[in-house]
Amino acid sequence: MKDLPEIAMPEAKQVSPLFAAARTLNVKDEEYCSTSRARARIFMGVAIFSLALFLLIGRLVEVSLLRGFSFSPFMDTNEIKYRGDILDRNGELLATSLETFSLYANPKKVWDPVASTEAIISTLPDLDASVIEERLTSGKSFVWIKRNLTPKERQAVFLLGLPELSFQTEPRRVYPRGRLAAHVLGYTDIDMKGTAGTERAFEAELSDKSKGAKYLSIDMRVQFALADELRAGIDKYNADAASGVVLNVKTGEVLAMASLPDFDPNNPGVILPQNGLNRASMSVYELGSSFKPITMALAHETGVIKEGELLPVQNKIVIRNKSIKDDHPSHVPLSIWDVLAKSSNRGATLLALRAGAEAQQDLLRRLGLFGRVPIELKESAAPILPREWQDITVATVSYGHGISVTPLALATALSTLLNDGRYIPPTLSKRAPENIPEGRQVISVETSKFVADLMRYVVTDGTGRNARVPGYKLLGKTGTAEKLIDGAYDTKRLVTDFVAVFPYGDPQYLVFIVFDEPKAYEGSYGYATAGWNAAKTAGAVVERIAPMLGVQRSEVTAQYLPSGHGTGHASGHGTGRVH
Amino acid sequence: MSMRYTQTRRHKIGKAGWLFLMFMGVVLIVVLYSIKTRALAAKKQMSHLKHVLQQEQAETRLLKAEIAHLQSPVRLRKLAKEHLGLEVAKAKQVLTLEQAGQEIPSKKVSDEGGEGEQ
Repeated sequence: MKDLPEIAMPEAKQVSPLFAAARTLNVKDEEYCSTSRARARIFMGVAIFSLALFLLIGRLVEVSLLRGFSFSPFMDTNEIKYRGDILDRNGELLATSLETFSLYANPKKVWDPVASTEAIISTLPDLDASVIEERLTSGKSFVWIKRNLTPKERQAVFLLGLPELSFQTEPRRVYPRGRLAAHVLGYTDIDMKGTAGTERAFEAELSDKSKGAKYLSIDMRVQFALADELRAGIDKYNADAASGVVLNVKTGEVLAMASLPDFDPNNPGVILPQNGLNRASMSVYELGSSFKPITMALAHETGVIKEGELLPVQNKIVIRNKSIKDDHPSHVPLSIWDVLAKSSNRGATLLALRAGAEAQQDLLRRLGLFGRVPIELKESAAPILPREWQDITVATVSYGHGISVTPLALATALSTLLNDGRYIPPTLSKRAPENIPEGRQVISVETSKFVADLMRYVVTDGTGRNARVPGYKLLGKTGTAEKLIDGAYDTKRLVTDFVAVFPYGDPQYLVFIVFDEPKAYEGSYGYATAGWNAAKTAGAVVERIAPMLGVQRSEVTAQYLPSGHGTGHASGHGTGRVH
Repeated sequence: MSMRYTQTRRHKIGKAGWLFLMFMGVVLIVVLYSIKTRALAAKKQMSHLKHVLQQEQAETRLLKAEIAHLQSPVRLRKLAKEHLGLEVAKAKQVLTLEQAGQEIPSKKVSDEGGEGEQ
């Protein structure tokens, strides 16, 4: 025990007696004080340590247990943009997306732009050196060098070992069939967005992963046969261009659509405007006499022609000082059968004038010829219609002049005439049997049968004889129109076309062929009209596609069988009115 | 005396309870951590498999495109023409079996040689 602490005792004299009992005694225990201070320090230390430990454990729990799955490996973030395949109606691949590597650079990492540019150009010589150098000195963090490299190009760049260069996986649209159905398929831009054809028309569907591959109505085999015959026709008839359509009359499905010259959709950057034009759906023509079946339907529907009546086509017809002429003038009156078979403009004029402008316009409108074809393609042109519908207009339109429509529009209208008069909107999507639209009735079934009979007669005894195919009974009609150049018709520049429909009795398929400015050739006797080119090509197309489409032949010939045992007779040579 | 004993006992039981709860907490944390680690590993594995699947799908697409290119009508026709001398079939060459029976004369085939009247 140390010395007792000092006890302060106030003097009694100075303290009031009232407060004498409350005198204070201060005792100072130094040992106790030092112990208390030590305890306080220990307590503080423990508290700080506990707090730190608590924070550490808390953080550990937070990191290991509470934090979500933030792991995202590179393969997830590197997923390429989806775009569905395009298939033909039988599941044949027409367009797909493949992974390619695109080359980019980080200019901030470039040490020597000139040396880097030289190295890049040495492996990718198709690039512009000045452009690459400009990009490498731009100071940005990201610049494209070249997109969609081939595996060989990628390997070559990889071997350069330049740290500023990197690759990014990107999809590329590929069309493995090359030019086949190029106008139908269209193409995409560098960012895989559809810019033409079905790529553009079905953009939303192709971009939707849940929709899967897109089935078109196109039949690749039919498409190839059509394009092949058109190409052969261009070569033979020295035509500037050609187009063709094959329609399923019953369902409205477009089985083939070709336009020549064409292009390779794998290289969309080098497509010339004239090649990129889909002439089947975008070019409007005065298609000439292939309009006459519509006039015949008009006459039958309105009852302006009696059975067996002869039309005085030998007489001149002058309307508003304009004379209506026939290519093969008849010196005798003609029946409606021969008006179509011999393609008489005067006969068509007489019938149309009897029916009247209103009825004619009404029928054309209901056949869809007054508007663009309601097909999915954006490349579908509106017709060029007459400003006024005078009597001369009625006359010229009756034989396909003064009104310009697309080949697809006229093909749709003619298929309506032969589909028991029902208009089915055309489509490029494959239609399941239960999804075929009912369409609308445009003309009576009776009129439809009558027009079919007339068109059969055109092939057996009329201007369409060159389209005949052994074993297949075709219906058809030729069309030849002079091109309107600077306000005047040029007799030497023609547009020829032919519509062929088969089989007779139950029309199912329609082939429409158009040649732009075909020329006479050896064996055509100087003619360049439809019967000498478009009809032949249409017949050749039918001959190739009919077996593919499962159309049975109606007659047998065996001319090419060995030992010469064939009968040597082809069908369609009948002499009767309708065969 | 007994009251004081009861209080001490309660205090001990409470202390043991706390220790048990702390132990259980630690065990749960360890188990949870283990499960999470496994889940993370499974996710990594899944991502890897997904990546492999994507690669396989890309390969398949490439092969399909190659097949489509090789089966291109233009190419097939060229090969058929060059190597087999084939041409586009004409309508007159197509016969049904029934029609062929009428067009092609019957041929006598002997029994010995495995041939007979057909």
